[in-house]
Amino acid sequence: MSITAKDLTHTYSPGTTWEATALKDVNLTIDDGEIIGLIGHTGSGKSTLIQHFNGLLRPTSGALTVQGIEVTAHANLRKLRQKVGLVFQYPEHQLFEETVLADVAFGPKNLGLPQEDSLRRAQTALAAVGLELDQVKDRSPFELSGGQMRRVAIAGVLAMEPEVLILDEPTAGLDPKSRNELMEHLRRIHKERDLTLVIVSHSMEEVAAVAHRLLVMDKGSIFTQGTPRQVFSRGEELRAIGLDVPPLTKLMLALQRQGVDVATDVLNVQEARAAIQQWRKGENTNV
Amino acid sequence: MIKVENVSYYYQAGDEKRIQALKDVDMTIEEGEFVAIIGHNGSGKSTLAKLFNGLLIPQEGRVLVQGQATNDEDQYWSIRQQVGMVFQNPDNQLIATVVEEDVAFGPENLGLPSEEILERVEQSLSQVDMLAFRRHAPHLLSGGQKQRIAIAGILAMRPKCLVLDEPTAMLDPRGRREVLETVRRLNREDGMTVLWITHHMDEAVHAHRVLVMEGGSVVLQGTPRQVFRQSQQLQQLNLDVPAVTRLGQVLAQDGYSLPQDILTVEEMVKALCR
Repeated sequence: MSITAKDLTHTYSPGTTWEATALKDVNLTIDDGEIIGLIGHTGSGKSTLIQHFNGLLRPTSGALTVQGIEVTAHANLRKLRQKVGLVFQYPEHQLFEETVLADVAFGPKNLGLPQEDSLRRAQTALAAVGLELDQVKDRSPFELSGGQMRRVAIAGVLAMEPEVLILDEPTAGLDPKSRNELMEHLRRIHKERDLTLVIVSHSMEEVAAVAHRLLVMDKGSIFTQGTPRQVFSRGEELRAIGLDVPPLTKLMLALQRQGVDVATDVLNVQEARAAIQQWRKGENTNV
Repeated sequence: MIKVENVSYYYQAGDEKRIQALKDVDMTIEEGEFVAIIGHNGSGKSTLAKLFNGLLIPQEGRVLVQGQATNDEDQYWSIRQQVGMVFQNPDNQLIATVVEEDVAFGPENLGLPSEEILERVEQSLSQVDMLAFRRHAPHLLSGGQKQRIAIAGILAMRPKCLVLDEPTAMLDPRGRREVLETVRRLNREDGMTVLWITHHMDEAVHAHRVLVMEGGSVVLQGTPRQVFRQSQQLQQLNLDVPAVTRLGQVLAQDGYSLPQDILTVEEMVKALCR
């Protein structure tokens, strides 16, 4: 078991006028090696939740165990953060070194690894995010394109060789091509490194393509969870909590409202095509 | 409204390693039009956007705003007042600690009398449906609300044209909807000319005209229907076609007689349930 939360509650500024409960009785289990898509609109508690996973925040009440470490005020945070890598939103804002290689090697070097090992880890991590080592390693990270900078920043976390990798909206602001490429790299990294992957996203379509399971948050609690297919089939409820259901799901729901008996759990164009063919075939045999 | 005549733009122009960002771009934006500009990163979209109000001056060709050339230094202020820009990150565009002070910043700088400033602030905030938040602190608002405040700040300058460079890229779905609806309403009801730069094809669907950029040139343009029919060409440019349009196209391959230019869920439902 990678992550287990039991009645996890987090209150910001308790006892003050700004007191706000961001998480309320969250119960969840994430297995080793799973890819989880964490979905919810702004303010639903996603970011607060993932900040608990590497001990940036501690539960106000309830319990959280991550990779065998109980996250409390007394936890060994250094150890926890080695196991759990957290990639923030717009991580490229955190690049600072003179060269790409130095930036990615910074983390392992800080762990006290010898220079050689740090550089080796950095090189492996850059390759993992699909960057050509010779082309980028000696350049300033600030000369790169937005998509490349994003990947350098992710490589910096990968170089720490975490067992759990958490990314907060990794594709925000990228163009469709860079978005697809990045998701593809994440999928491959997951396979090769056999880590647990948690991807926070606004875009259900995007995470549905890679995630084993989706967790949907609303108002600080888990609203629903299941395979992408199970979650998509509850499109109406998702809309009600302000989530944008993918256009094809919207289409299937609209067809259902017209009285058409059609599957609503389609994940992509090919599945929508199949669902519509089946509906039409059914109609022809009825006639 | 805006004429772009045979414009080329280079970064590091004096340098041997100059980079050509725009290549012989020609276009006319009519008053009251809603034009979406799409293209992947590095296609020249943002460079083009910065030409419209003279933030960048082309080295070749010229840009005219209401007949005034942007390279005419005497016209800088007049042009920037007519063409307002909204950028991706709302946090970088808000400066004051109270919403109405932020919106008042532009007109204050114009040296307008305070009654006029007040009137403009109120009008601009109601145009983006944020008047109720006038005394709030911008940093406590949602991304979509912040972006609407940024737009109100531009509206207070009474521009004729809004250029929005990926205004929804950093917003969640709800914020995206809010901002898109606000700008569509400004276009529809107030006749605001809009240039909307985006990666999201679902947003481009609502434009009167779509321009597709690649390698610094406009490679495809037309109504959303005309443009999204060219799904093969768009795919070659690494651009998506809206999912519903793509579904219509694959179903047509299966022998269903469906229009090839379906853009929205509503249209698809109608076509299928005929």
